[in-house]
Amino acid sequence: MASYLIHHKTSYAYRYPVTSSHHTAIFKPQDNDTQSCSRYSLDVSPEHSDMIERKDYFGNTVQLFSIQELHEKLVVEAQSRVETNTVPVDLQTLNTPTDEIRTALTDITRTDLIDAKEFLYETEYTPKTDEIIAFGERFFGGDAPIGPALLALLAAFKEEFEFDPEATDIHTPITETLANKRGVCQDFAQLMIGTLRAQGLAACYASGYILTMPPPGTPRLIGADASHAWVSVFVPEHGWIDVDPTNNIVCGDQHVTVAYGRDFSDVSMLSGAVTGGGEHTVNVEVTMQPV
Amino acid sequence: MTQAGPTNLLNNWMGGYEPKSGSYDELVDENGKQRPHWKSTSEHLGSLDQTRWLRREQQLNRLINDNGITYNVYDETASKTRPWSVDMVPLAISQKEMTSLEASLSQRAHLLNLILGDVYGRQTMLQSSKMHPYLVFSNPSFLRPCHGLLPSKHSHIQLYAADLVRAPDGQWRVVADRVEAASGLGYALENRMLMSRIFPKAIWQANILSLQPFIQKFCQHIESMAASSAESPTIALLTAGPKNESYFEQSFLARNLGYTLAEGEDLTVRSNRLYMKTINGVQQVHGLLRRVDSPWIDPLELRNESLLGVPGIVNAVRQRNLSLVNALGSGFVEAPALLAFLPWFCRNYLGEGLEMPSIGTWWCGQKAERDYVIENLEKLTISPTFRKHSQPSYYGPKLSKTEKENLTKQILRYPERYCGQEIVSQATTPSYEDGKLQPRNFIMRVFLVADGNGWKMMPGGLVRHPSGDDSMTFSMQHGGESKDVWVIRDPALESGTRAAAHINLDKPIHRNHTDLPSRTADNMHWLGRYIERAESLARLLRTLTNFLTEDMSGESQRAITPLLDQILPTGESTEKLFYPETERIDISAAEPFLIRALFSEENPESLVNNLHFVERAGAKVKERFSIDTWKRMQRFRELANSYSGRTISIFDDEVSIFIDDTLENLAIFIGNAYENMTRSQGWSFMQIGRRIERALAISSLLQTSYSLAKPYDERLDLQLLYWADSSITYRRRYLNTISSERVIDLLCFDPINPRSLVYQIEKLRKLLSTLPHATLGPRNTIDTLSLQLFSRIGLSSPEALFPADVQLRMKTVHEFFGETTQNLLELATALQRHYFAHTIQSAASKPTAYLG
Repeated sequence: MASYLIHHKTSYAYRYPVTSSHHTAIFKPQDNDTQSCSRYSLDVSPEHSDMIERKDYFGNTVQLFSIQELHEKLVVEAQSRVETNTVPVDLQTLNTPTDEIRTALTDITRTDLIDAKEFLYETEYTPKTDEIIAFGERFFGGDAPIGPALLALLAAFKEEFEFDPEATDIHTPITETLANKRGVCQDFAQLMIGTLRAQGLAACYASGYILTMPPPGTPRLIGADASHAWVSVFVPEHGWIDVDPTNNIVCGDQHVTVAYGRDFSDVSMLSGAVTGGGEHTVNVEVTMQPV
Repeated sequence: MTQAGPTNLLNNWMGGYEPKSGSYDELVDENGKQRPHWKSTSEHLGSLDQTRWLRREQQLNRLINDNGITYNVYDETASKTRPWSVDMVPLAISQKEMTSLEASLSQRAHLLNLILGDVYGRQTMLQSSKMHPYLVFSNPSFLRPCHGLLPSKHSHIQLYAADLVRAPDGQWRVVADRVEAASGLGYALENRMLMSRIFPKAIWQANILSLQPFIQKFCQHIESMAASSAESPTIALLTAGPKNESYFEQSFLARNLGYTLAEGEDLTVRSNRLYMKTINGVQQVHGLLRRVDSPWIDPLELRNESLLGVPGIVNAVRQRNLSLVNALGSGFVEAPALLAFLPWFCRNYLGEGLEMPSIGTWWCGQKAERDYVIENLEKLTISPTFRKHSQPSYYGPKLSKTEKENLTKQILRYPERYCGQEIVSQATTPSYEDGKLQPRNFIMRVFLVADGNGWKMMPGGLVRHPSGDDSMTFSMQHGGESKDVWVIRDPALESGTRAAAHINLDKPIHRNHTDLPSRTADNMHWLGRYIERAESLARLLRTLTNFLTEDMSGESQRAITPLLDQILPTGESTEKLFYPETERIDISAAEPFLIRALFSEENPESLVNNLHFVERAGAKVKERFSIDTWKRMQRFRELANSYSGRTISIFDDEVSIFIDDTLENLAIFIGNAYENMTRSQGWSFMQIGRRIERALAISSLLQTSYSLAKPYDERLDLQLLYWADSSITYRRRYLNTISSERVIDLLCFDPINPRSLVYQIEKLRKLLSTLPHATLGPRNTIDTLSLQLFSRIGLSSPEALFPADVQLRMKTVHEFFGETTQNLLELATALQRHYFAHTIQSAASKPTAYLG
């Protein structure tokens, strides 16, 4: 059990005035079996209009708004309070053979698994290629028990890949991440999803936050946290299991989920289309405070 | 090759026409007899003798060329636009056959609509073990943000197009369904217009059904769908712009339906409603006929890299403030692999069999089908499961052994990505070639519009002859010929309007008045400016080349410096062009600058580049011009292309031919525009552009000419008169006495000389007073500047500009024209700000990254 106050502030500064802009925001933490969001607010400056809140195709809360006045700066602040109660799944003892899961998911008569099948196939950001298939075969060949295979894949991310914010951007293909063995949480999550799907497993992209620990003896820095991305993998008879390839862990109380989608493009936290503006810079400050 | 004699084609109509055995032929039956419904067509076309036939063929080619009917990509760097190609011989179809096609295709359209309703709604198909989830979830046209969007009247498809082939048994099969943004309707109308021009009598007497009632139905239907309670809702046709392969067709269609042609930049979403940005402000749009594929229509909720769409448009649809034709995400049903499942869908949703079969299709995602495809690779076309431009189709019979092996390997590794499709031995229809009829394979695209609870098929269509025998795709890109489809009226069937001898499709069937889009105003303004810039430069170059190539042994050539100055790059001085210590110009030094001003590709101010600018600005507003006016645009491009980069001597005849040709075509363009363009706001903006540019040219040249310290000689006066095409007027008034005061009076202050500065300023003032800003609100910068220009010139005179004192004259002339130029430039900026400012493009902002 844990409680957090999350403050996520995004500031855009445009070179030239923007005449109008439209945005979509997906910041509101999920309410589900392992987490509840007791408070949430979204503040936009300058004054916005036409705010609409809706559930998207995947059940995430999306807010759409537009700004119709001339502006050179945009600040979007999302604040929430979340309680989590997630017991990490013990993957070591999860011994369902991978083949059994594959068979169930590819069985056209298993219409009961249709929700998971949505996340079974490649997407633009998680393509199936010979290299991606080969990478996954190391872990998920034949009857490999799913739990230990997942742990081995997570460990491979820890051992073989390097966290490097300079190496990639939001559009870096996963084949490049696999070849260069560098990237950030989004790259690792999408590579892992692509790998699982190419092996006939269902996996989705999770967008949210993770609690970071300041070095012992130093105070928590405001705004030093970041949004985070990880993977949720489907095991029939067990359900969805969240794992974090960037940190080589099975998710627990330190993870707060905002949205699930097929890849990054479904759940991008803040996106927009602006008229005018020219070059722009964006600054993000995230603080996740245990309470 | 058969030598066509002087006989009528009729005598020889079927002579030598030998359809291939084993496939169906449209003209003759299996016994070699003409099919009865061809009778009237054969009689009329066959009655023309060779001479008349050839004359009509020439007329057809001229019409295509003159109308600028093209279908290729408009390429900015090269001329890649290919002319449209139409066969003289139409395809004749009996009304009975058309009625039966209409019935079976109506069922199909209805079925596709139900599939879309399900996939974007309850998704019951996924609860069945017959429908593979891959075909839904991986379909790139399944747009999740559009799930749950309820289209107007629950109807996703308003316009349905099907590509048909006829199999040897005489049965039609659907090769592909087109609902995303079906092209071809405009080309079909265009073909009918061409045929009715070259065969007016045949069209009338052969009892051909008219296309007009269908077009009217189509418009009525679109308007009834529009999300508006207004009696006449505003509808626009959304185009991807002049670079799109079928832009010509889109602008033709927009003109004929009476809808405004809009690009993404012309539209904006405010308060969840769609508006068009016009020079009168924003105007709500209730319905959009889109020719932009769904994924590209909204950079906010769909593909965010799109520059073709309008941010927020999906939400405008979601809030039921806008209806789109066809509904967003309709492309889902275009997936080739889905053809294999249509019979199942039909039984499942309608409880009946599919009346109009598709070509045999086997999706490799299923084991048995995959095995079949691999075993029969050489008899099938291997297509991508979903319609993707990036993934090619493979024609089995032509694959080499290695290619077959590689493809088999790919299919086994990624089976879900492929499907095999039957190769139908296509029917043939007569085509006119080498003076006689020849059987050619064909594909026919037909169109249906939703009508209440049913569907109406257009009694016509668009036939294409594939460029090779192996192609079953209906592609504009791969060349090949098209033809009109004549549905022959059957007296036994009561409905159907006969085609009129002359149908004037240029005349909108009904008018849907919208204000001028800001972007169009902007483009018209620039078109006017470029035209005038090209004209002024051509005149300057003509004056210069004439002067420099004239034999004037011994005479001073100093007088030409102010004109020469106009074409030199900044920093260059005319002084260097004279032989040291002389009054003579060194032609070899001056020539490169003239060539640069005429033909250089690198010099953005060269005449060839100016012609390119004219043509490009024109292409963006093509739909505003009549056909004759548009012809000039083609000519500008030809001229610019053929002279671009040339390095001929200025003594060469070709130089004056080029300049004269340019001036002549500019004059024809302007004359045509005067005669044929409606005096709309678009016209005003073009004229404003022309007047500003001409005033700038006069002001600049007079300033450099008369603010020189040196005494100027009368040769300069003469050259200025020649440049301004005012020599004759001058001589008539003053005979041969040249004086600068009189010249400046004629070129600056004479209100009846159309090439004087005051004439431009007065015209400008009138034009500006018709613009929307003039009728509302307080005086604006535009009016202030106009007034300043007007009063400065009104309060001055030749005497005032030319005081006796040289220093004072220099200062006065310099200031007068300097301030005039300044005001003109400020005026252009003020217009930009007031009328064109919101033509800025929208772009996606950087999504924030996950950096955890």
